[in-house]
Amino acid sequence: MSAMTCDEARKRILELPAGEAPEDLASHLEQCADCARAYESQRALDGLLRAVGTPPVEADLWPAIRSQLRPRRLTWPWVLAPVAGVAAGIGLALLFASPTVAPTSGPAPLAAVAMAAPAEHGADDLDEDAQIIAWHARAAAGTGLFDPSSMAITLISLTQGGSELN
Amino acid sequence: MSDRDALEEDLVSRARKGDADAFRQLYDRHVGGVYALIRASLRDRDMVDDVVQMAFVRAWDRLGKLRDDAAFRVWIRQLARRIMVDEIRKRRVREADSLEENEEIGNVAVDPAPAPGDALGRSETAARVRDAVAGLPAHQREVVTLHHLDGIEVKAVAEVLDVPLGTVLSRLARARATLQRKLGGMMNEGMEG
Repeated sequence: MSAMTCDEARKRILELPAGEAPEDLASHLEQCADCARAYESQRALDGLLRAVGTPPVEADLWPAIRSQLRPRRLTWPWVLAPVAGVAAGIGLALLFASPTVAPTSGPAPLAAVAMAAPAEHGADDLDEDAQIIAWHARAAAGTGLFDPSSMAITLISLTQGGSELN
Repeated sequence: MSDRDALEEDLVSRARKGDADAFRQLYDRHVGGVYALIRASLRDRDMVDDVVQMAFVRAWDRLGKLRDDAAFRVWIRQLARRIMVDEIRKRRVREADSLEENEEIGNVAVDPAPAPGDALGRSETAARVRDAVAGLPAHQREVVTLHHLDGIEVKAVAEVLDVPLGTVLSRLARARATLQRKLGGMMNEGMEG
């Protein structure tokens, strides 16, 4: 490998990121006093700039930012998963049931799907929502009748709800 | 991982779950760097304030998309710069090559809580350095602000500015050559002291 020239060394010094050791320059700097001075001068400039740092922010922007932070909502996949499960249950029930839904001795498909929802997702913040859905499902299983309007209202309220900011 | 990085990741995680106090701490940590970056390209202070506000509000909205919590430092600066570019396009007030008013630079450089006895020298030094940086062409000013004043590594600077690493290094080299000429006397004093 040929020795580094002064031009190459000066270019390398100028490109050297602040705080990085110039290992490839070491032998050249040992032999060239001018480049060694240029290197020291560069280090001094780096130190001066770092010491000055970023200027202080004159305005307090936080109040305006804080007022625009929207409360976190339940993310759609988490909300839609139990809804999709319930919808699938209803679809299966309609597919296999007679035109009039008859009381059954075991849990209805809807109940099975809805009651399984919390365990499947394991999300703490969904526990309450899942319990409400399960309540509807148990009611449907117990009576043999399903109240779609009540269920729809519950689902809509769940999807529109969200946790508040701290 | 340093304690500082671990704390930052914890703050990002909490903010993602809706903790506005954690997000406030992230704001406190990064507003200086974000503000300096945008200020390096814009003279209109109202617009700088607007861009910085929009950046943090958008960061809050999109925090769920940030895959690496440790990357917040680079991500918030990227976000701010992209918003700035969009706003410039919208408002058609590109000022990237304009110099700051000297008076404004002086005001920015004043240390709000100077140490007794050393106050004048420190504030004058800072003013001179920031004045010299403000006199650089816009692209060089951005690189110097990010790398030297804000302490961002050169690879991350390339990410923020969305340019190759080689471009960052060449801008850095040109900026340093200019700053050496402008601040040579000051550095010699520092080296001798």
